[in-house]
Amino acid sequence: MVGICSYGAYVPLYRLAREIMVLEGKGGAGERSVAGADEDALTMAVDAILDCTKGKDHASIDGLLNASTSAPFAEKQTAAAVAAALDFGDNIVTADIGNSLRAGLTAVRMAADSVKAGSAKKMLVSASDCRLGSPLSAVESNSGDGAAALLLGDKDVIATIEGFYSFSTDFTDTWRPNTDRFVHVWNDRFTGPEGYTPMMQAAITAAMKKFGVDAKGISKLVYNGPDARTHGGIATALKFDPKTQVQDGLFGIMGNTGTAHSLMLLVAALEQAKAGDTILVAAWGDGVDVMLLKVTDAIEKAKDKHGVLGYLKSKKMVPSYQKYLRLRHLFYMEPSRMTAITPGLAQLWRERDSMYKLHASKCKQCGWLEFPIRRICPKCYSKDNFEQVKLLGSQVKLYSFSTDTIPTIPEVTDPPQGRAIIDFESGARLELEMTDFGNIENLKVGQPMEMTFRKLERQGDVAAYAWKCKPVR
Amino acid sequence: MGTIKDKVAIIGMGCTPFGDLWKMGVPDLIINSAYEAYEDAKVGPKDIQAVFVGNVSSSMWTGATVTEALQLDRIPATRLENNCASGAEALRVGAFSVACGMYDTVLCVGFEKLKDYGSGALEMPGSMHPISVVGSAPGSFAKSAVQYFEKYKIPFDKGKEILAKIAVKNHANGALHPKAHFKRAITLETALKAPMIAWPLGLFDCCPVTDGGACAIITSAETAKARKKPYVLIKGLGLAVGRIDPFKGKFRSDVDITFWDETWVAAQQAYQQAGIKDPRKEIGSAEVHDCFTITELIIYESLGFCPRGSGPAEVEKDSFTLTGDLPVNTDGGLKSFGHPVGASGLRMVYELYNQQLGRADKRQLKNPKIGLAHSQGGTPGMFQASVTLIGPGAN
Repeated sequence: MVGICSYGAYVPLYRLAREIMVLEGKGGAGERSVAGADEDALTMAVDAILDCTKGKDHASIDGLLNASTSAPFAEKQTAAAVAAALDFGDNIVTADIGNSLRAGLTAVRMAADSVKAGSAKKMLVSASDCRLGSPLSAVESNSGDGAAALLLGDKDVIATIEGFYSFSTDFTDTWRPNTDRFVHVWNDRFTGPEGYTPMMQAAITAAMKKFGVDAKGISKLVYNGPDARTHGGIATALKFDPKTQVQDGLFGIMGNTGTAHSLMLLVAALEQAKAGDTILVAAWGDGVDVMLLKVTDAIEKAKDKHGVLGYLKSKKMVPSYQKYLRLRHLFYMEPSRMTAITPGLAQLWRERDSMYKLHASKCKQCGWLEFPIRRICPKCYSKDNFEQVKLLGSQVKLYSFSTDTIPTIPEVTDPPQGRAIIDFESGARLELEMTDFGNIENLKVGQPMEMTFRKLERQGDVAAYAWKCKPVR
Repeated sequence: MGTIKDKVAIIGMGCTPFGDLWKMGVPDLIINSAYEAYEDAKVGPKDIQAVFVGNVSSSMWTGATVTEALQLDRIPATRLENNCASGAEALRVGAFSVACGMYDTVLCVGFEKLKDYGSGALEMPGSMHPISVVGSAPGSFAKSAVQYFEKYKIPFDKGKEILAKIAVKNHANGALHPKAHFKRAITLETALKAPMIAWPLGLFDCCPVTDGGACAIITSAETAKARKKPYVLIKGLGLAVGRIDPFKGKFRSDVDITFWDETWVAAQQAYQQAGIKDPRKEIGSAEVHDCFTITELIIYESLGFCPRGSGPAEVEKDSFTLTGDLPVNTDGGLKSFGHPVGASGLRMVYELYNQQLGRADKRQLKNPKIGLAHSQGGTPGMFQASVTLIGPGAN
């Protein structure tokens, strides 16, 4: 039976206390997650999938659907870049699904349908968003950044999909024209009472009727919403017990993560689920998608992930509102007057096996492993006689590290820039950028590190991505 | 491998003041250093038969940049580039052209005009591997300091103090040289309290970005002797270029960033040519590539002046100060004299030349013995390392 085989999530390291955003008196309580300056919807999708596919063979993935309203490119596919970074096979289906806050659950339905139809055995769905509210707006305060990933298939499922229900409407409460960076919202005295609240209630009610279940038969109701108060009203109206039957919306510690929100809340629910649980998931945005899940015995084996709740526990506070503006590239920074050495597209393409796939060369004659790929073996001098070996997934230790105050790079989250030399357990050594490392004085030679896919310094219109390292979270 | 020992002589040298030379362009750096050398050697532009130019960042047709500046008319002029060893390369390849009998009077010139870029750090032009870090040289060398402290179990504060002592020494020496970029002695406290540039390296752990030019006029040992004027002899020339380039994204798991392998090999080449068995005793002074204080600390060990891991103890004993048993960077080194990349290798030889000829003023050593100049381009993991040995002439 088609279902969810694995889950994963990503919440960036940084949190912003809303009380810092008090310039216009709109600070509010709690905190929201904030992506680093080298993160966006693309990089967070990679991190969430890494969490989801931990210990799984990437080569067996048949397709990837990535849902986002804040993909870094309007023209150029995010899913293809994510699939390349994660070294999925070449003959897979990739697509971006966007433009709506329910696109994540819509993508789950599409992926489940393709597994059910037999056109794919294993489909990945990622939902990732880094939405911008205009500075000091309520949207900025309520939002959060994050990503979720689900692996769908018909074997070894941790939750079977019992059914879908979909409802489409042109009701507009939040929107962003192609030409704007910031999300707009209409007056919530209209959008809640006339849109979100009655339509969500109606859709969930209709879905339960279709599935033949009532509120008492649901272990956990999981759904997104614009804010904590409006969100909470749905469960109460539908006679669900808010204390035991409703997945917390995480507005107070994470914020509304847009397209990722409903799937991140589902991941949070799965992290706490037990065999036999029934989970009803609903996603709002230009209509409603609803899905019913039944948790299987395999759930316990899947709980080795960071997940949403795990990632929420490891955090660093953004010290000031100015720092938040810098992380989101909301003010102009004079670039350093150093020769820009960010690679061009041709070079990035030529080096993609090393840059994206993190492949090392292993000499077929003497076994010497070297990264990036080298044509002449430095030990036995055999030429073009190597096989490509994956480094991703191999344990990483810190060999040495430093900071660098000299370049001014907008894509460095926490200047000064961090730099490291790392050793892979498999034998390769690599010098690279280090990110999310906190206080440099607390790092230790030999400590475990992990790889994370991040943005490099932007060059003109071209955004380049590469693997960086960070301390294990 | 053959030897260059006693085949080639330096008969004149020149060096511009090093510093923020806002009033001097590239031609001025070349002209001012060359005319000091002409006057020193008592030769003129028409005597120069060939020119070898050491330069890194002056983009293209750099041989012609020199012939144009000096109005040398249709003679061979060649630019040599080997990163921070480029100045040493001009002398090395120039020496070979004399040793083989091709030319008799050759001008070896090195220069760099860095300040015009407007950057506070060294420019790193050229094609980098896309996976390499966008960063500066301090960030690269800082990792050697972290690993050195770890390997030899040196507490952080102690390690910082050892490095600061090297900066204090070089500033004290530079204060005695009228052409140095920074002619100011500093205290240990100043060095330790300086802002961090690339943790754990602070401001005084890093050499500056500097403009400058230096040159040498060389001839055969026979010609030099017949001229009956002061000269020095080249005793050995070593060069070792590494093969693992972190700037191109290459690193290797068996590379030890607490030792400079290429410097060791280049020094062994030069020692062998000069017949040096015990460098600590036979070398009178050394001008070394102290781009960062940690670099100089590891250089002591890599040139064979002391065993591996014993550099810090030698620093504490003041072994390498002006009054130590093997003075290092008597003119202030890169730290205090400055580092115009293509000029530095020749600037080092300029100091050894002045020491040999007794012209080093307050820095003059009683017995300069054989002088060693060491240049090292690159970054931990891969270097272009050059060692030049200079000894007294026959008269």
